[in-house]
Amino acid sequence: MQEPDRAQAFTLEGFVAAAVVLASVLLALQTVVVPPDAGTANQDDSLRTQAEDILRTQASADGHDLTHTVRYWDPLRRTFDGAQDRTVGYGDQALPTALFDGAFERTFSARGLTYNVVLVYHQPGVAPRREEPMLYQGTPGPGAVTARHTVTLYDEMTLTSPGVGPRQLDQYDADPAVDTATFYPIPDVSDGPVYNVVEVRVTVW
Amino acid sequence: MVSSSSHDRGQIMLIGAVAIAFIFLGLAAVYTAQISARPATTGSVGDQGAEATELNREARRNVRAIAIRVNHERPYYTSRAALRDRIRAETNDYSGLMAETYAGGQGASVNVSAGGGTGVGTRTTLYNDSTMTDGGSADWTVVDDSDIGWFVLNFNVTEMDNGESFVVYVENGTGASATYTFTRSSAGRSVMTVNVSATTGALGVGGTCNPRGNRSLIDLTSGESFTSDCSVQPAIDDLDGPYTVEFRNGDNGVGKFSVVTDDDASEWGTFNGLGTCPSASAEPCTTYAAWDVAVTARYESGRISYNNTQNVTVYEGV
Repeated sequence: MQEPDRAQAFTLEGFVAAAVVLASVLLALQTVVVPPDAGTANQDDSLRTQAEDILRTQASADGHDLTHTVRYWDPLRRTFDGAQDRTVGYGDQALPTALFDGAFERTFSARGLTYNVVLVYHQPGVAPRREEPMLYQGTPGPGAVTARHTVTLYDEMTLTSPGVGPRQLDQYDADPAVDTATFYPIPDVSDGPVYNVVEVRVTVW
Repeated sequence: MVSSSSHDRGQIMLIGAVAIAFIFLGLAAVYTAQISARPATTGSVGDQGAEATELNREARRNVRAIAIRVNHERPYYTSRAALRDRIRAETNDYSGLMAETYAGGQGASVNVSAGGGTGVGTRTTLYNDSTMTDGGSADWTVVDDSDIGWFVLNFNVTEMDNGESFVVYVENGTGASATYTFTRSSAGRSVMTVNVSATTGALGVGGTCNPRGNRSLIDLTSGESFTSDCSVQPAIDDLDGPYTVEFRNGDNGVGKFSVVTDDDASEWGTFNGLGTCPSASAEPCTTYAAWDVAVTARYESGRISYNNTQNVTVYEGV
């Protein structure tokens, strides 16, 4: 009776060994790897990337590119076309579809996020750059992220708001004291064909 | 009973299995730790790399835009050096504005420059209003077997005779051609009509290109008008170059024009005898135009250093 006993013992031990190896393999496979972008810092990176993607997509769009956005100014009302005022720009309103085609609303507002869009432009001489709010919804909260894109304006470009005439940018005046309907806040800072270089700054929180 | 040696063998198998299991678990732990411990700054370097790439793209786009404006802002340039110096100076102005923008926003140091390797082509132009003739000849060759980057006609419509047509004939190396006939109409609202006939298989499409004020500007490379909504097809860009362009009945066309080709200055006058600008009389002449420009974009930050020089064809994609 020794041979059957020995075989049974080997079989049992083999089963136990196989079970141990299988269990360890399954446990290793089940090990959860926490991806790095689950952290707060990487969530911020993700928001910034989304804002940068919107700016870059708009910058390379045919027709209504990012310079079109910067020139969407109504010289009669002295605001961006349809905006509330110069302090908050479009403020709590949504941006017109002619600007970014609702991309910021779909990407951020729909998720309960808030954002500002501000234009930062050069002044003549050595004066520091100045800001013109296009859409200002308040002071950015903690954890706010900022995306930027630069656009170059040229002297012979025209404003793009509906109904504006063929007047070239270099025929507008950046002095708000000017009486006529020729006020555009971004000045001509170069003697050559370049008019100004404007940074479109988007802050999301 | 099981013998002692066989029992030992079974235990060794069990112990071996447990050891292998621990090895698996250890490897899993090491792998997990390695993935979790990736440096958190990888994204920042990636962002700056994207900014450098974006600067490169903007530099290419805007130096091209500057070169086009410099080519056409003056009636003519008296030398290659004068043209190159002007492009360099305007690019430096642009670079200064970009440097201030990046320093204030991203904290990076950037520079954009147009190098000395600017390739110079030819601008054939009539820069004062006149009939579009050459030395009294109404039929003449404007471009001979060359690539065209720019071709704009600027008609003074009120100075043109009613019903008298001015014709531009364009033929490429394969024999495909397009004929554009410009006529000031005597009645109705169609002040300037353009008829197009082509041998490219597609029917030519013309239209009414009414003037703004008394000027009608038509870009034949793109087929678009700067002064109205009209367009013509095929445009020159729709035909593959190189091209030959002839003016026919040039005495019926009044205004200005400008054509930029890749011809070197050594080829001036070999096919149409045009003189160098400034022209002694109100006649077409030839001058210099930037055809391609070497653009260098440099981006420096605490993390990355990027420097790229590229040759940009000025009128490509305009």
